[in-house]
Order: sequence, then structure tokens, then C-alpha cells
Amino acid sequence: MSEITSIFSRYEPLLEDYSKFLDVCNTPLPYVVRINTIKTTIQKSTSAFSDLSIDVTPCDWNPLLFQINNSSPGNTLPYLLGWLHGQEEVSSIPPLVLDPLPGDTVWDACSSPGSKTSQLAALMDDTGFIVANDSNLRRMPALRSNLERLGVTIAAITHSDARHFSLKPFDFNTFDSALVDVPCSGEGTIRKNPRALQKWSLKQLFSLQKLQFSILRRAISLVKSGGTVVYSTCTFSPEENEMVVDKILSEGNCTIVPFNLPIVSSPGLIEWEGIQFNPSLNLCKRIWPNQNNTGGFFIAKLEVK
Amino acid sequence: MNSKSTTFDLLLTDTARQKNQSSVTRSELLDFWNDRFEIPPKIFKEYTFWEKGYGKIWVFKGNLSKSIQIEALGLRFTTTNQKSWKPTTNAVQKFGHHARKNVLSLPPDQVLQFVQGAPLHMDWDGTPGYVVVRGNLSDHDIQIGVGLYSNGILHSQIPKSRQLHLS
Ligand SMILES: C[S@@+](CC[C@H](N)C(=O)[O-])C[C@H]1O[C@@H](n2cnc3c(N)ncnc32)[C@H](O)[C@@H]1O
Repeated sequence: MSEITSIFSRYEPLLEDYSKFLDVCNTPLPYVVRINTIKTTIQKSTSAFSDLSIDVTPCDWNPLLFQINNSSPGNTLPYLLGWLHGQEEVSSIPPLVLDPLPGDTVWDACSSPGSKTSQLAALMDDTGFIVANDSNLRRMPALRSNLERLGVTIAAITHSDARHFSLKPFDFNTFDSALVDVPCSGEGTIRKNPRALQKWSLKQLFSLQKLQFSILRRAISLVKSGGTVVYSTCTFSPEENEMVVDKILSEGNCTIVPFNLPIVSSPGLIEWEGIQFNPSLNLCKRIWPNQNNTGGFFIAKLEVK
Repeated sequence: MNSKSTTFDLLLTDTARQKNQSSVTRSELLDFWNDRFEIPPKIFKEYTFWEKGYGKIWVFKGNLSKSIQIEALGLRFTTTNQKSWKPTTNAVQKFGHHARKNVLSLPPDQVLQFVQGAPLHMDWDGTPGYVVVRGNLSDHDIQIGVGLYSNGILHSQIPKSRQLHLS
């Protein structure tokens, strides 16, 4: 049995068409770029694609996303100009759910390499303030160069462990909202990286859960009352998804809020392996690769009390 | 200036200039952009400028009330630690469309050379030094980056990591 089949068999009861799910997981993911509205427009980019003979297919649910049928999109003029950023379709969803406004002060707790940070900045018309944090020094250069190439002028990059993030260097006490796109086991990235499951173990899921919970808890404590925190992972395991959110709900400082997605998704689980969760967990969303031919994702939208 | 190169210090206006703060002032910086490229200071009204390490100036939209020790604040804007102050590629891509002086507009074939880092021989009657390099893509002006014009040659300043490799 392959790694995929042996590990993913635990999700069989959650899926209507498990064999289709497995098939899709074994198919490489198309390369998708997001148009960066800080530096260009959809119209300018589409004309450029056609004039430069860059073969693209627009993505049907989001006018800013294009599947690009070119082996190295980074080696094109629009990329050099900062008009494009390679970003999977599902990866563009958490910022849309957070839905920041121009002028907001936003914390991106785990931000390298900055795909979602730059998308947040674009959604804010590059107006406001984003603190883009990451704990991994080796991932800083990519974060920095992406934000600079994409023309983001409202971000401060900090290097710290999000669990202990301090607002001391800044002159404000709370964020309007936070994106908590945590490190995870990455099961949903299997189509992009066939080796994603090599280090998979139940033990690893639980140690990630601990880290994810502490980061999420820090975000809840740093966001103003009534503010939004979006929690997301690119994995299927309930240990890293519903169980983390269930635990944070039980602390009583936030509630889950409903949201709609422009693509097909499934509700969050309210039970896993005999453990019952808070019933509001069905308001979270799971995106399985076979639903929209994408990677996998989990998203929860929380409101701070 | 703060000796720790991890600290961002705000560039102050001339009158507010303090000892041990930044090595240049906001006014000096804006004068440079105005003199060299005719980009008027009002374009930068919403922005503040910060020095992190001698002569390395960053641009940030907004303000902070004090010096700060972080990894980045906005984007690198200008290098002022050499005789000729030098704008960054990202600064020119962001603000270059306002430039009205020392702009070189390249035809498509030269754009392709320039983005690959190749030097271009050309006659040009502007003042030698750093220039805004512009091109055209699908009937729109594009701000490509910085060139250094001297002795009849335009030297591409597109960083190696950003250069394209076109066959
Ligand atoms: C899923 S990736 C983030 C992707 C990013 N949001 C994007 O859209 O480009 C998770 C990130 O969390 C970072 N990370 C891991 N542990 C962390 C911690 N304790 N505090 C902050 N960041 C952490 C990793 O270095 C990694 O860059």
C-alpha cells in the first residue's frame, strides 16, 4: 500500500467518493498565479498574457487567479514587474475570509513566504498596517523579497515565535484582526509535494496541535474585542483542525462565526473517533482536493469576545 | 545613528534633525528624488522613511512613533552610502511612473535585453547616473527598474536574482 493510501484511509468515512479523492491526490496540481492589484489590474495582466503568448486559463471562481501553463512563470516579465504571485487557489481563501479593510491593523502570525500577507495587503489597497511574523529565519528572505517585489509598503516583518509574540515594539495594544495560517502536517499539499507525508505520524499531529493551539490562543489575546481571527491549515487531520478550534472555544474567549465560500466545501466535523466537539464546529469549512480540483484546506472564522 | 543595524530610525525633516539619528534627512532624500527624477515631494506625503544600517533607506506607508528593531519595514527605497544615491528596483517599480526626468524608455527588443542584465549601447542626452528605465507592455507604460547610464552604455541594475533568462 502506498503512503497516501495507508495514511488517508482514516478519512474514508468522511468522504462520499473516497476513490476519487485518492485519484485526485495522486494527480499533480496545476500552477496558479494571483494578479497583484497593488501593481497592476486584471485587464493589464490579461493583455500582457496574450501579447507575451503566456498560456493561461482563468479560474472560474476568482477573477484574480489564473492557471498558467508555462513551466517557469517566475521567468516572465509580468512576474519581474511584481504583477503576479504563484499561489494555489485554496491558499487564496483564508485572506478572503478574513476580509480586511483598508486602514486595518492586521497580524499575520505565520507569514513566510508571504503569499497571504501580500494578498491581505492587496485587499487593503496597501493601506493600513500588517505585522508579518515568522519564527523561521531561513524563511525570512523569501518573505521579504516577495513583499518588496509585490510593492507592499504597509508591512513590518518580525522574527519571533508567534506563541510569545510581543507588541512592545509597536505603539498599539491590539490588532483589528489576525490570520493564523499555522505550520501543519501538510496532508493537503500532497499534489504539490508527493513527499509531504514522509514524516507523518500520529505523534507529530499531536505535537503540531499543541503548537497550533498556542499560536491561535496568542492571536485571540492580541485581537480586539469583536475582531476576527481566521485559523487555517493545509491539512485534513481533525487533530490539527477541529480539535484545535474546539479547544480554543472551550476557553471561552471567542466564538465561531459562519461564512460562505465561492467554491465547494464540507462543514467542519462535530465528532472524530468517538470524541464530540462543540456543535458550532460545523461552521468551519473543509476543502477536499476532489471537490474543486485543488489542494486541501481547513478554515475557521472566529470572533473575539 | 544607532549602531545596531537591526534598528529602523525615522528620517526626520531638517529642522528636527537630531544627533545620533539617521545619516540623511527626509528633506535631503526627497530633494534627491525631486532633483534627479522630478518626482515631487508631495507624492510621498503618506510615507515615512527609515534608515536601517548606514545609508540604507526604507519607505513605509504610515508612521510609527519610535525607532523599532524588526526585520523589515515597507521596502528598501534608496541607498545613500555611496557618492551617487541609488534608487532600488522596487522603489522605481512602485514610484517610477511619476518620474519626468532621467527616464529612459526602451523599445521591446531592448527591454528584453535589459531584464536579462545585458548592457545596452545607446546615445542619450540626459545627465549620466541612475535612471528610471521604462518600457511598454500592451500599450501601457511599465516601470522596469533602475539603469546606470555612463559613457554611452546603459547598465542594467536589475538584481541577479530578478533577472530573466530568455532563450
Ligand atoms: C503554512 S506556513 C505559512 C504560509 C504563509 N502564511 C503564506 O501564505 O505564504 C507556516 C509558517 O509558520 C512558521 N512557523 C512555525 N512555527 C512558528 C511559530 N512558533 N511562530 C511563528 N511562525 C511559525 C513556519 O516557519 C512557516 O513559515
